[in-house]
Amino acid sequence: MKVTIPNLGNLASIAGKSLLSNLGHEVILPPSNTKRTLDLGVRYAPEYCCLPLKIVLGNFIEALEKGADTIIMVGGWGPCRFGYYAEIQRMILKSLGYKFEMIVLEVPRGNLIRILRYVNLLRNKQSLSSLINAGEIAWSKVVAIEELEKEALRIRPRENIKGETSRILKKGLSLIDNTNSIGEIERIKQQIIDDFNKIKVKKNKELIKVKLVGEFYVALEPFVNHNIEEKLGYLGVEVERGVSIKPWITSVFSLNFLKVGYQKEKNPIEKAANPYLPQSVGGEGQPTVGNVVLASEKGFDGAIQVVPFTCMPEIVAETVNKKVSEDLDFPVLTLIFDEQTGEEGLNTRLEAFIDLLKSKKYDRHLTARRLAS
Amino acid sequence: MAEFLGIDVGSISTNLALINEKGEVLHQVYLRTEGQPIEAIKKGMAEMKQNISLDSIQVRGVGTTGSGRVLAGTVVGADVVKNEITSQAIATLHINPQVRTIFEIGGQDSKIIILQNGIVVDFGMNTICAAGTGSFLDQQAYRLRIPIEEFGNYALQSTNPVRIAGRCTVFAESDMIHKQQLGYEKKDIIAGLCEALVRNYLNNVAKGKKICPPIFFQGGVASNSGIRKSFEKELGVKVTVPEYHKVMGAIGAALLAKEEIENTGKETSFRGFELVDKEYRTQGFECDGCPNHCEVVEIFIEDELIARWGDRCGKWSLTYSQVG
Repeated sequence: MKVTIPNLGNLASIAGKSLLSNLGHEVILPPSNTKRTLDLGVRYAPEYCCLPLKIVLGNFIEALEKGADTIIMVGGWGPCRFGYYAEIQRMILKSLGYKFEMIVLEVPRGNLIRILRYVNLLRNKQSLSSLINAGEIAWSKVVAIEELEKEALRIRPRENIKGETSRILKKGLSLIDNTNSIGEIERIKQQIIDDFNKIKVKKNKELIKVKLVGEFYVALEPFVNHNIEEKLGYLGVEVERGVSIKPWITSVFSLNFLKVGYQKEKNPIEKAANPYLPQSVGGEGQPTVGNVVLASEKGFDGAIQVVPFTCMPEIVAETVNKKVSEDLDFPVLTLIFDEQTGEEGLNTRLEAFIDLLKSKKYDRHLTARRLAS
Repeated sequence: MAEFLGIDVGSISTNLALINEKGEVLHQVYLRTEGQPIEAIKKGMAEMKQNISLDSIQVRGVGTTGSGRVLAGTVVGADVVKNEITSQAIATLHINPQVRTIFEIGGQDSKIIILQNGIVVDFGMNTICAAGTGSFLDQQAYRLRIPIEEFGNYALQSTNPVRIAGRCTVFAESDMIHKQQLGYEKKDIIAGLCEALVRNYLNNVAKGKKICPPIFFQGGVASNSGIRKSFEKELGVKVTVPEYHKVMGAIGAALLAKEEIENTGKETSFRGFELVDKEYRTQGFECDGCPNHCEVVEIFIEDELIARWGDRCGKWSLTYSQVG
């Protein structure tokens, strides 16, 4: 069985691969997302689907070309079309003549039998203890990756030499990718954080803090969002992500009746969204609103919402956010991503938004000083 | 004397403005980019050179803006490279600090900028559709065989505008053709088109924004008095088209350059008006380092490489100035 999974930032290619290969699967990762991935996805997917479906379809085609024969994809439920994606992709790939098996991990929603079935599928006839071990290693990698990326987002706008932070982050990620011991992952994480702290920083730099919210895939996949986190870092912006894969993993494997990983209380993000959007609208719609509200309370200067073109939940959130933004006097920029590869429009909007946040923060009349820098 | 030059390289037009220390406009140039930004910049500079006496001025700083701002900044040696929203806002506030709303409609972009107490508090740009921008009007003027400069006058003559669908240029165009085939007058169709464009702008670009007077209307399309009239009709308030509406971005860039130089005391990196006589050359190649096959562009003055970009990974990038 030669297994493949879709790309998702550094998470799938490092942590996902680690889990599967520790269970004795041969893992064939799709190549990093490129224009070719996009071209393949756009060519074979229905035109009106959103970009995540197209890119992931492109990933599968490129992985099958490399010899993969089993695709692992996640499913979903609720008003977002994501729940149908695996099935659509399966049909498209079959009609293109590829021979493969597809394992769709539907969100078990606390269904023990379903969880056990997935565990069994992934286990690859290995012992339960090696399954737990593989799971623990992969989880440590997820935690380490997200922590290092978070730290990089904090340091990058402060760095003196452009690119220093990204260089160290890249080194750290590759070290994590190459180890298979939890102790080692922890040690590498610490060492990279120390390296980050040794980066020479600019003094008295006016920093702007922005929360990145919006659709999960677009927020986490740099090819799709045109490296928005790095771009913002170089514009002097400290970014904090509003999305993370960790709550998603815990929700998938939570067992309601055992109260394992299950919280009866509404999570704080949903709670914050409540006055404006009291119910789920699928995808990350409600969390997007909640994250904006929370960001305004936690000292951020603004929020940027990233949306794949035609994404219903995010369109709802965008509209609701207009009210949130007005009530809380908190600027929100919505950016819609589709297959464009030109970046000038994106740069213009980001730069103008950051100028706006700066003059608001420092109460700086536009005819007055310093906007030039 | 100390003068400052602003250059706005947009998709359709390239504009230059020369200002003095007091921020007064000494000379403006407005010409079409015609898909050749470097040529347009050189042409604009040549035109400016002819109209001013070079002995009496000294350019102490240069700023560039517009979608071609990085290229322009590289070509002329700019001290500031700034996005067009900030540049437009700076120029407007310089002319009238009371302005609350800016409508800016250019060749491919339309924007709205909301100002409060002299700062930008909100802005919007057209996202996925160029309906209601200058290039659409250009196309329709061409189809109706009337010069774009006269478009507005036709519209003003109409007392009975025809309703045209404004949501999408494809809808608008077919609606227009159908109405033409029914025999409606040109002036009524043109007036209808102006109204459709304004409706589209207010429903899309200005969606959800609080439009407060005073309103400034700038950009190339502001020359079209038919559109201005439709805005006033729709909003019920006066819409002002400033004298230098076509070159506001360039004025803003010049003002930013002035600030930058005055704040830092730096010498300008301007390559001088001599650059109009130099040979600029661009050369592209496709990188085959990965399946992205990025189209890398190199820019040369005479035979000297001055910049290179277009790659996603940064392996080739060599930029004259940071975008910022």
